[in-house]
Amino acid sequence: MSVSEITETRQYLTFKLGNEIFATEVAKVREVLDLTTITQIPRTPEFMAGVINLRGSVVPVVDLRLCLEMSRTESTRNTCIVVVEVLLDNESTIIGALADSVEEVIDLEPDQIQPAPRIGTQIRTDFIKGMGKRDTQFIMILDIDRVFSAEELAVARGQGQDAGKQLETVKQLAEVAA
Amino acid sequence: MSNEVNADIFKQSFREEAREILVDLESALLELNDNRGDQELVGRVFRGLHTIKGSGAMFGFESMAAFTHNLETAFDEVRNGRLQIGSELIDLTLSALDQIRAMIEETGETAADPAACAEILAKVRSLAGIAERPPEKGKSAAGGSSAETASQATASGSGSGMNSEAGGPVREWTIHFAPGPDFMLNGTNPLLLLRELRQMGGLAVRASMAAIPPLAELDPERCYISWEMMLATAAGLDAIRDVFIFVEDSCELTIEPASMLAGEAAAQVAAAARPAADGAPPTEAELTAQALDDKRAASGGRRNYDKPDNASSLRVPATKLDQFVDLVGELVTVQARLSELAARSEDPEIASVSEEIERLTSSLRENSMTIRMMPIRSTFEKFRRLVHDLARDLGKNVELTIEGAETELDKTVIDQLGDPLMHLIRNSMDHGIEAPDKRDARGKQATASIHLSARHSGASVLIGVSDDGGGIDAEAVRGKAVERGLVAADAQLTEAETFALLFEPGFSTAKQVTDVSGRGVGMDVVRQRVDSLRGTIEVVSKPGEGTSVTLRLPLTLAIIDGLLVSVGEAFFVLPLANILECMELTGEDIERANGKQVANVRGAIVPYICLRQYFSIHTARPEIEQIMVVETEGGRYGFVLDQVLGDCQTVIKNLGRVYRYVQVVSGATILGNGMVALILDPERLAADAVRSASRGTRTLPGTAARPGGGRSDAAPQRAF
Repeated sequence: MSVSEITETRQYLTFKLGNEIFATEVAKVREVLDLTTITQIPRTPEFMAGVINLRGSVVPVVDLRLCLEMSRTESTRNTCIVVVEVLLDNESTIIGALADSVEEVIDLEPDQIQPAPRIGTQIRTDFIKGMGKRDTQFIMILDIDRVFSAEELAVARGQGQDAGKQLETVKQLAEVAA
Repeated sequence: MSNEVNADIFKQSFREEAREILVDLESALLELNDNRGDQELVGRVFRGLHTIKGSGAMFGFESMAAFTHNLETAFDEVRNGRLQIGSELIDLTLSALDQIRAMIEETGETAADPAACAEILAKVRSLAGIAERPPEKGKSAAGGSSAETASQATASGSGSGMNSEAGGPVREWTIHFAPGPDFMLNGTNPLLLLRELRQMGGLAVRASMAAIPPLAELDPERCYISWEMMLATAAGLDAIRDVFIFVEDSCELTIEPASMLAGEAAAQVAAAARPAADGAPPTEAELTAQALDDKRAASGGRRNYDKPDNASSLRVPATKLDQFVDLVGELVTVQARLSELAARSEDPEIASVSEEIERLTSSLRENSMTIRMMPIRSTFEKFRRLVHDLARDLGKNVELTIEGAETELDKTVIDQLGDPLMHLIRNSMDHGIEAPDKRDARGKQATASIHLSARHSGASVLIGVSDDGGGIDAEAVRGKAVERGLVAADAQLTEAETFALLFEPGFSTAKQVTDVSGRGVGMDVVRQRVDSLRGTIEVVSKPGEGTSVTLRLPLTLAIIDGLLVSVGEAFFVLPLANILECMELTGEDIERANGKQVANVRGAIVPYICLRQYFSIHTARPEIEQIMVVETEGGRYGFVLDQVLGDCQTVIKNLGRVYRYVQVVSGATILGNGMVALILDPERLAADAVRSASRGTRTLPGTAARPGGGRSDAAPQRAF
């Protein structure tokens, strides 16, 4: 996927991770939830926050900040879970992503979107589909399929050392949520 | 079939139907092979082929229909006693069925191998004594083929003039054909049937439109018209009836020789038919209808379309069923929350409603589980073909016997069983069963047998595959295992332990790899699949007498009986099936053991795994912990946890693709309070803990945390 594929006006959901504004296509988003209790799965890598109960189904939640090599998500009043539908090995899968806050839904014309700069962002450029500009603010459009692609999550295999730290985070998150 | 979407739906349902018929055909053929004189079976094969051909042609699989037609002709010959069933014909037909299967599949007709088809056809033709002429060129060359076969050719679309060739005297028939009101809803076009009749000879048609209601009440999808026809043809009654073979159940149909009609009605129909005008004056039509009503009342109409019970079973897509079960699972979860709320509110009215809902939910859940239950028959029957083909390829004489095919188990389990059973059977055929001369030397029956069985045992199903072959050479297995370094040379192994080695990846005692088996992959597949179904494998083998493999599987995958336990603030469910007992572990016990993580369970030494450490849960440890003693394949282990909260029957939720690498957790479940609890897999958990311990690479935070001591940040003290 690249910016050249964006040829029409699309709607994007914007959300904040730290001070940066990110966006993902609205079509990918199923719903946005308030932070709820996350049950951690033992012996999984740190960015795999755990699972939540979404009206009776178990949905995995990923700490998006850790995926993008930022620090761990701290739980605040505004912390949300953005539930997205991604393609994993060509199969549609529901995943929740932790976001510091969810902003709004915006329309972006194709000409408002530029390719991501090769340098100058701290984030892996292959995760970014393009850069949108709105007022004075840059919006990074995430290639959400890519972020959650099988290879990225496959890192989970055989990693469990950070499980303890993770559980603590979740506990803290849960306390705040409760 | 007014539009493409409909056509697709019909094609899809044709495919489903055809697949079932093909399976049935296969087993009928194989039975026929053992029982060659059975006319009943010949009839079954013939009917199956005929249905596939007919519906195939109807849904646009013309070349498949034409192909099947030739097979059908051959079986017609058999039916008429002109052709003997031989293994050649059976094998040919079986491979033809494979081609048909390829033709009807989604990929389109290109998937079949045209060369193979042509070869099969040529052989079938030469067997059946049919001249090698494409069916389009008319049927006069079809040797002794009966008029019936000829008329079926029409159905397959060859459409030659039929009245000229069957050679019999031309007779007149009157046909009363009144489609049921729902006739057109399933995509049948009555005009096509009339056209087909017309191809059989001279046909006069008369439509009775008396039943057509005023426009305001007219439902355009219903069929109001019935037809009276006069057909002059040389074809027999069966041939005429075959035209209607697929609609018989949904229409009123009477076919009678013209002379046998009640005089008045015959005269009227004939008179009306002669002008052959579709737009006959209504009065006359009414008259005819009237006359025919009388006649129908007299002869009692052969078929009645509105018979009540043609839907005693339903065909439902599996995905709908899965959604239904998911919804019931959600309902169970919500109901648990409701119960909790009701208990807290202390309002008697709410409590009674909650109890009512609890009762309904639990019967709904039981019901929904039984809906998913299917007999294992179709899976078992599939293997007749495999055994037949393999026996031929290996030059062995093998008979497959099936027992308990009606045993019901969860559809998901059945779907997963095909592969493991196939590998077990292939293994038996290739390694277990001896070559005929060897059997002879051992004084065994020339025909070896493989026995497939299924039966219920508590909440499990036992699936057995046994053979009367040479048995497993335990010494050879052991030798190979020592050679591969799986066991120490001086290890004492029980029989069960020895046979368990067979399921190690890449393990094979076969001296040579054949194309049937020997690479050591199959048994590994069996174990993985059975593991994923939460089942176990048991092997019993007596040298020289045979081997029997029993798979013990849970009845359903959707629900698990478990114990809800807690460690710190985390909840876990342990499957009840593995649990032996529960005992207390005090600080004193731990000190007494001098740091060894073993417990004394009534004299037996049981190593334990502290879940708090294993899952790195940093909460204070209570004064008294619980040890849950579980039985695993690798022996008994204790799991140390804080509290046992009680038993629970829970709906298993998959953790999803993201967490598929997590081995020790087999799923999750949602508790009454909305929390998610993880379902532990004791087998894997124990195996993983043992592996980590033997590697010695994994260190865990120490056990030094004492009650009230908070988080332990002490240096790792022990390799676990």
